[in-house]
Order: sequence, then C-alpha cells, then structure tokens
Amino acid sequence: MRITFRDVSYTYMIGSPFEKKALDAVNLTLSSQTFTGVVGSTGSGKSTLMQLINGLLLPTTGQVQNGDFILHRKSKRKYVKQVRRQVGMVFQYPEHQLFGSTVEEDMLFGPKHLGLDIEKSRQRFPDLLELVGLGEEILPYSPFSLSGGQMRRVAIAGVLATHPKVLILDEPAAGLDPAGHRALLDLLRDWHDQHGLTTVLVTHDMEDAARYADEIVVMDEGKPVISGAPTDVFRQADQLAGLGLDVPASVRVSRAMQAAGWEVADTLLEPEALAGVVIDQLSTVRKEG
Amino acid sequence: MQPIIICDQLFFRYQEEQEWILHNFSLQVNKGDWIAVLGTNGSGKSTFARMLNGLLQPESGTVTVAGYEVADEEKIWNVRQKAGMVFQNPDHQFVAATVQDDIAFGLENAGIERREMLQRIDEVSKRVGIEDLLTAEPHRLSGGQKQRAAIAGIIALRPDIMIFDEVTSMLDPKGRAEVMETMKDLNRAGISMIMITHDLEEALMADRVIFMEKGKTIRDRTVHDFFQDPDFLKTRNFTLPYFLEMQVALKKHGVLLGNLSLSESEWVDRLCALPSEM
Repeated sequence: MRITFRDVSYTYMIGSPFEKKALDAVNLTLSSQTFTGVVGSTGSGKSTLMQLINGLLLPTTGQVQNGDFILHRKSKRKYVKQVRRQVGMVFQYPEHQLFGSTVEEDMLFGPKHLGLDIEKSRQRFPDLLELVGLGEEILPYSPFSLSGGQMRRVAIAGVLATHPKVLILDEPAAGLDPAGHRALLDLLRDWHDQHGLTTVLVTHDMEDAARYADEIVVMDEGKPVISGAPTDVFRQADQLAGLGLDVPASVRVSRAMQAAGWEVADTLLEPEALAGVVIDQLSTVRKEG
Repeated sequence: MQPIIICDQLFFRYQEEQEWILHNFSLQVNKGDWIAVLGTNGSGKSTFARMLNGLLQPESGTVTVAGYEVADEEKIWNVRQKAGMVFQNPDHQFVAATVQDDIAFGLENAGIERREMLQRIDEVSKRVGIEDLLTAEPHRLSGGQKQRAAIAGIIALRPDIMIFDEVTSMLDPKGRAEVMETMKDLNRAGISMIMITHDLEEALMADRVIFMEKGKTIRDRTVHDFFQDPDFLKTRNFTLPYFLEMQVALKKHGVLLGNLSLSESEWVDRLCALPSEM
C-alpha cells in the first residue's frame, strides 16, 4: 500500500503553553512494498509521523493517504478504524502491552478487535509462533511466565496474526541480545518480502537502517531532510553528523580509506567485501612494484 | 590488588524446581576495575547485578561488597551507599519534581546536612554536565540527560562502585555518547564499574570482559585478550564491530597479522598506511 503525506502538519496541545509543532508541512511518499527506514534524533518527529500513518493521530492540517483511504483532521472514527485494520504497529518494548491470562488470549486480541474470523486466526497461531521461534505448547501459558525476549516475540506474532498490509516497527529489537536482535529483524524483513507489505522501521541504529531498508528518510525538526537509497543517504555523512546522527561503520571506514588514496566505491560493503577490495589493490601494488 | 567485590559460589533461582539462574557463580573485582558483563538474554547478567546491592539475595553463597556482607540486613544501607545502580529505563528512576530535588532525595535519606547537600549537588551536576538542568522537571529531559541525572543522584552519595544495567540501550546515539563519556570520567576518578551490556563497542571500553552463559562465567579475560578470539563471539551469534570483522577477514588472507586493533581509529590508520609498507 502506498502512503502519501500531503502538506501534513501536526501540533500537539494547540492553544496551551505547551503547544509544540511536531511536524511541519511534510510531503513524503512511501512507495508500495518498500521497506523504509526512518531515522532522526529524539524529538525530530519520527513517532508523530508513524502515528499519523495508522490514524492514532489525525493531521492538524494536510492529509495522509493510505492506499485508497485519506485521513485528515475531520476523519470519522469508523473510517479511521478501517485504516487501522490495514496497519500493524509494533511499538517499543511491545512486551509491556501484553495483558492476557494466556498467550493465546493475547494473540487473539488483535484479530478479535478487528473483527477477523477467530477460528481461522487461531488455526494460524502454531505457524506464527514457529515463525518467531516459539512452539505452540506455550499457547496456554501466562505471558508473564515467559522471558522478556519470548514476550517480545509473542507480541510480534500477535501483530502479524492480524495480517496487516502496512507494518510499522518502532525499534522492535531494542534491548535484545545481538543474536536475538538480528534474528528478529531478519524475520520481519522476510515477512515483508513474502507478503508484499509496506514496512516502516523507525530506528536509531544506522547499521540496521543500512542493512534492512530499501529507502531511508532522515527526519529533523519535523521535516524529512534527506531521503533516498541507503548508499545515497549515507554519502552525506557530514550533513548527518550535523543532525547528531552517525553513519554505519562501513561508511566511516571506506571514507577514511578513500581519503588515504584507496579506490573504494561509495557502496555499503560488508566487512569481508571491503577486505576483498584491500586484498585486490594490494596485489596490484605488488605486481606493479 | 585489593578486591572490592567478592562473589563466592552463588546459586539463585526465582522458584524452586526451576533451573538455576546463577549456577555456582564466582567473581572477584579489584578496586578501580571496569568490567563489562556480556551474555545472551537469560544468562543471569541482571540477576548477578542485583545481588551486588541486595536487591536479590542468593539461595546459597556469599556476596561481599566494599568489606560488607550483603546478606547482613543491618549493613544493607552501607552496601547501597557503596554500590550504586543505574537501570535501563531512564523514566523509571525519578521520585522528585525537579532534578535537584531528586539528587537531594538520596542525600536526605543518607542524613547529609543541608550545606553539605547543596555543595554536593553543585559538584555532581557539574561532573555529569547537567548544571543547567537542576530546576528542570525530569520528564522533560532527553534520555541521555535523564540517565546522567540518575548517575548524579548516585555519585552524590560518593559510592566506590557503580553498576550499570544496560543503561544506554534505550538512548539515541547522542544520548549514548553522553552517557559513555560520563562513565569514562567516573572510572578515571577511581570508581569501580560493573557494566552489563549487549553492545560490543561499549564492552571495548572496559578493562576486563566476563561472558556469562546459563548462570556461569564461561570466559573472563582482559578486554585485549577477550577480543583476540573473535570466533568465541561469532559462534554465539554476536556480530563483531565492523572494523574487527574486517581485520579478521584480512588476517585470513595473511594481511595485517598480529594482534587485532581494538580501536577503530587506530585500525583505520594501520589500514591506510598499508600500500606504503609494501
């Protein structure tokens, strides 16, 4: 599903002393079936942008088009709910939102809330749990008897159980150990590819943005300031540094090498590949010498 | 070297018949050490940290901190003054309406008189760089500022030991850098540090790394030696920092043999000097 922001502004607490403009006349298109990384420092407007996609917030001015649906300031609740049915959201620390007395009850919450066929949903649970690396035997367990990492995976399986067309992920891997971190993002990227979703990953982690996203949008002071393919975005390292953002280590190392006279392309290379460039050029030097 | 923390054969589990969370865990920490504690989720890292100031007590075994037995209930406040703890979530650590009241709260509990209290608030807020935020409401601070304010509240009590339980994992890169700078400064000032983390870049700043698995330490080395064996981490699905991974790949081809550099800038310098060495 294609998502388009047209002149969207959002102001919190209008008319109060705490009035704050979080988004300022944003024009942005997220193409259908792309995996977009949204990065920016705290307070840049990332979270507001996300909440406008599924109608948790409605624009103060402008409109957000989500497939055939158009959300604006006066959208009706029933209409907003139809949009929400398409959009799955995984917040930070989703395990904090579990509340059911069993894992199954928790996973049923989404499908029930959206009026999906309960029996059909339930039949998919074993597969979904397997997908996130858990077994169906945990369905009758209390979610609170699980470890933090397991609870996280139950929460994500619950969101996938609603079969969203759009998936919004806000730091879904925060706090997991490195193996769990990689496994979870691999899983979400695979799901995205297999089901043709439109996915938005909000993250502070530039390595993740570089690894998983097709497109990156950099937010600053309520506006998208840089966007494009990861290679193009990270070419602007100095501008990113000015916004308090890092570049991936591959970019730092290859830029330093370029400055020292090595021929390294501006692409995001895996460490083995960049090592390969070094080996190739060393052997050329040797032959010439 | 003088040990400041001694954990001797600790066993712990949350419920009987459950598997051990700490399984015959022993550790000795010398004064001034900076120890990074690595391990997968569920390896017992956070449980171990909570033993150090009596938030949890072992089922068997003893914990001695700065000369006090942690099991001695009468001494628990001495232990907590000597060993301060900072937690992961910056929003869960404030009790007062302003930053300075929050720092004062701990000092009042410790029975510090007012004049001394004001002096210490001044001193610690400068130390962590929040002197302009003393009258701010904690919830209006950024994540990095919140964590530094929490650290200020603890160092005002002049601890010998600080325990950091994944304190940067909820911060953005800027907040993380601020907190890491503060941590370096505290260690230089002689505070012994236990830092629980999933982040290998952070672990590189410690003096010593212990790796926990199933409630035990399975590796305990200086940071230099620990990182010379990258396969240990890779077989546990830890992704090495990029510059280390690259060195491993080059070494396989016989380029830049010898010890792995543990600093990215030092490594880049070595790399950039390469063609002229040929």
